[in-house]
Amino acid sequence: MSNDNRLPEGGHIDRVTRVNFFFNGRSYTGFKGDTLASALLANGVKVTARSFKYHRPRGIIGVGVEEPASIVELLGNDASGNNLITMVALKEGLRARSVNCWPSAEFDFGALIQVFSSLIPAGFYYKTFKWPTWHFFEPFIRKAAGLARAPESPPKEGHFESRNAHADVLVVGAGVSGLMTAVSLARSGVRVIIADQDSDPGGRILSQKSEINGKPADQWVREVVAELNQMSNVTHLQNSTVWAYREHNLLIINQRKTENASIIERNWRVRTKHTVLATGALERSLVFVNNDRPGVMMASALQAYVNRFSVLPGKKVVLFTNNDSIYSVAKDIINAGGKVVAIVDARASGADSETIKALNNVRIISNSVIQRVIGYKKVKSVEVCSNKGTNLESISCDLVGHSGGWNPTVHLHSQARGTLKFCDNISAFVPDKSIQKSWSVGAASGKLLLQEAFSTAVKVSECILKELSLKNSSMDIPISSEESYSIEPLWRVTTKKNTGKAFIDIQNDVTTSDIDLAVTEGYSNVEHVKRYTTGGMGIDQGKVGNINIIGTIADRKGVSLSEVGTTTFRSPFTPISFGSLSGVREGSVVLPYRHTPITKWNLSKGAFMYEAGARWRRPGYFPKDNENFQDAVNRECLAVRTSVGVYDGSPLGKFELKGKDVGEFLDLIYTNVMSSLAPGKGRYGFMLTDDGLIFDDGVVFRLSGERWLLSTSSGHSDSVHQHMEKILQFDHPDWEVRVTSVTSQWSNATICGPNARKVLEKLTTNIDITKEAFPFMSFKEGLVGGLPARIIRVSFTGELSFEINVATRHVLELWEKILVAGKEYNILPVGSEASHVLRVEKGFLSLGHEVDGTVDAYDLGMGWVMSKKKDFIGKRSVELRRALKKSRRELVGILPENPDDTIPEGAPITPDGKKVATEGFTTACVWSVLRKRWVGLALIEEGHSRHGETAFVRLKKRVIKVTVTAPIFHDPSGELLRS
Amino acid sequence: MVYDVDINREQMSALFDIKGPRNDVKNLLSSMFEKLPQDPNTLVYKKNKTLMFIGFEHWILRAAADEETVLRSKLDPELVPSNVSVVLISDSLVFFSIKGKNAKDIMKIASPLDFDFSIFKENYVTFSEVFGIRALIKRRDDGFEFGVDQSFGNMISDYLARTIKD
Repeated sequence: MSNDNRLPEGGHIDRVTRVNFFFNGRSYTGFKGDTLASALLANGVKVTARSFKYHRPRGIIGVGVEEPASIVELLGNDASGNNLITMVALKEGLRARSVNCWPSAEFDFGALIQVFSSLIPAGFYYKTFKWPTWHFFEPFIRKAAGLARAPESPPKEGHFESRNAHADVLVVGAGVSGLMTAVSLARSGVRVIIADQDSDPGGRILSQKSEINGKPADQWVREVVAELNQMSNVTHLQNSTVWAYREHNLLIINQRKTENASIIERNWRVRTKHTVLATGALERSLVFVNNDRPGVMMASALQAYVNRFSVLPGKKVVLFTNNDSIYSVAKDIINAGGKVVAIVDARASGADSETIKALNNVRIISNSVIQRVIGYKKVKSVEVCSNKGTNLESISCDLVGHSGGWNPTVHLHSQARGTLKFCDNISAFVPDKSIQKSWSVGAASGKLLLQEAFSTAVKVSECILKELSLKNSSMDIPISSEESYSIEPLWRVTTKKNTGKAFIDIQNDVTTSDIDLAVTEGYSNVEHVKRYTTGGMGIDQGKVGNINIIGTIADRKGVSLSEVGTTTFRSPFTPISFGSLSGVREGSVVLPYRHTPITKWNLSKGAFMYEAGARWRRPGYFPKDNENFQDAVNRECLAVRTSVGVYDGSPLGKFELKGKDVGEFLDLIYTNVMSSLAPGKGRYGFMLTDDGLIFDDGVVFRLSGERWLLSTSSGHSDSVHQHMEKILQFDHPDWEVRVTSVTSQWSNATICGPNARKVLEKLTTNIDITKEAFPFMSFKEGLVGGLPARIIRVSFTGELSFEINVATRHVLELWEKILVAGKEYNILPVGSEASHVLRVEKGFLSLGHEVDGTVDAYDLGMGWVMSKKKDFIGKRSVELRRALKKSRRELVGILPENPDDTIPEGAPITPDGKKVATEGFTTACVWSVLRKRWVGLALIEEGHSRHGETAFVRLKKRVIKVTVTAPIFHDPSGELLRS
Repeated sequence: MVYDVDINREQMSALFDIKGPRNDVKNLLSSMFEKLPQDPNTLVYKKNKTLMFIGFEHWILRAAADEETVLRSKLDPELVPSNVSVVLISDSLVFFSIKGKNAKDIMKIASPLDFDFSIFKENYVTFSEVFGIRALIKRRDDGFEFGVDQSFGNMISDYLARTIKD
């Protein structure tokens, strides 16, 4: 096919640059400046889509973001779903295909559903798919009624970007009112961003033949844009849709074409002091039978194709209207050499006599409507009759343009929670009150004429300048060519003989009958009608049809449109790719990650790495050759239990506290007394929440008189910091306590195992590390391996341990020295998995396992940590709860009857293994290298008094018998860790 | 490269976290600075040292790494006034410099702050976020620099490489 529908001259396309592209597998040619829609229309393509529900053939209806029917999937490196055909800029090699059809839009098997269409009205699925369950039908329905498929792989070239921007004023829309506002403000020095969704500025000017100051209007646009682009305080974006208006004047823009080809799309998060909504107006459809047939278009779209893209997609045109704007469309079609067979005007009076006179060769049928379109994949004729259904006649044509009036584009105003009011003059909702600092100008404010657009722009500019305390620069208001606009609302054609489907929301296949059904069934609230019928939902968000739905409801209920009200407009205003939202945040940086200086070494040794809380990437285990997980973990555990191991404990939260009130502060936030600690000594404790649940466990050491070191769990480091600052800033601002995080200042390598002291000796240190001089829970500073170090004697494994902290810059050196020193003792690096096994054997708790957000210290058998002598956060909550004397789940050890039986973490424990309410669950189960069997920990009701009893772990397919024991399987007296 | 910038992961600096009443901090640092930064989120320079006023009674002193030893002895936590806290944090933050014509573009991608020079002035410094991570951000003659917790250093390098790749 060639450009048969292309007019010989005119338009804003570059006729020198031909562009080859593919649609549904066929090759076509267009011109630079075309959209996919204009190029297909030029090539005579009529069927471009199938409808969402009924698979009816659909063509191109609109020209921009309002396109309700033709959604395409782009292929190749442009791969993306759900693009409006009218918003896809044509480019060489572009490949696109229609969605929701098979094998093609032209011949679609799905169209068979039209035979049963009367059986599937709105809400049929709510009534039909109840048995056996909705989920049985859901996949089939989703497959049958879906839109585009998501791309299977990311783009091969380029990347998305997301950035922030700030402005005094964001002007949304570069039509006449937007440009006028922007230039007025920018001349006064205001920092302005102007963003427009179209490829070129000008808005409706691009599609019409208007004059400003006696010259073609596009000349005025060019002059203003040139001035704006020279100003350093102006950022001008085209191809950029402002799609969301959030709180605090945060607006989000999707820029589809950037200055650099490597950037596929750019997302802008713009924070402004003021927002000017120059978003124009969208033409709404008229509702008549078969108003969705290919060849039936919005009149304004038809005008744009003729004037901007130089395409007339029909030979014989019938226009249908209830307002004045269609007469300029007729004039432009005729001037372009097209034939307007008739203008059907639903109004009794029609247009004014001068307008009619200018179209002296066109038949104008007033007080009449198009009752029905005849044709399936293309228009063959229309049935025209009087408003009352009389004087029926058939008019042969191949193209229908219709206009039901203009709706100010109030989506962003509504997203910003601004209110709307119904304006009788233009029969549309217009912005009423703004909640945020937003101002609507031009057509978006309901002022549809060009001269009014200028006036509102200047007025709003003056108001903003006043609020910004800036001087107004002199600005002459341009004079535009005369226009007029009047309308008589027509929400749908209601002649008696109009059988067939009249679509009120074309994208969602919602018909007038659907709305009637919803109202009949009691869904009279507009929000309910929306959800019952899906009218106004989806990508379209009611751009073309919403007000017709509201008008129909109003008619049915006999109330005004104001009384019906509007639904809430949602973001995004147009479909937005996920890529632009995430920007560069993809692949390895999708989630934040943290490394210690040992990470590189771990990777070089083949460690299996994963996230282990607070975004730290940690080694799980270090497999040798083809060793499996369990063998590797066993080997590491055995090294610690029988000789020595070393692990990287750098992620542990660490804080230095200083001040005369630190002791009192620590006594408040910890359950036990910390203030009595002598310098160099430490204590283990719990931090509780206000409701008495365990928030964190950690150790506190007194470095000197007023300096303290607090060590928290890795995962809760940040929240503990926040907790401390909150108490100090809000509850006790008078306390002299200074908190500084040193988590990343000090990294540590912990040597653990019976030979730990020998390794440390070999490493050389000037610290006396004998048991007597350096007992458990104490702290010393000195040199280790020549490096300044802080050694802490704590143990998470139950073995003799030395936690050697050095400045992070030194930790890799320390690590390597430890491995050399420990070589003769067969030291092994130990991963998180082995640490987990070792702590379970020892019965040490782990946050997230045994501490599950329900237990307290008594449940864990650690009542000793709850001070009786002082108050602390959470104390009263614990006491109140325990005063109820209700049964509690308490920590126990469990030994499966069969030593080779493993139990999944979280497995429920039920009385006698029956399918009844649980009495507890397994918190951990590990293979003990010491006991050569699986051992576990569990929280079980009244567990402390049930040692020796049998409990039952209920799995999906079987029950495992376990013996309840004390929650400790290794060194119950603690002799080893104190050694 | 999409943007005309020079991005570097800087060598370690000597950093001290200082908290305490203004007058006491002023006395403590009097040999290095005649006066402290007056307004919150501003800084002063003196002989290759920078003092940043970044919170209520909270300052960060930055100097070249080779000055760390001398400064540690001057600011020994056991010797400073009891109501002033001085903690060495040189290893905590890793700094990245973003220099060149498009430095501001990179910062706009990384951070929600307004980097217009009329707003983010030469002597401004603040904690905000860079790629979602808490960061200490300041200007430099030829662009910007920011410090993040060193554990996130590799991730930030990863982000920056993605930002400028073609």
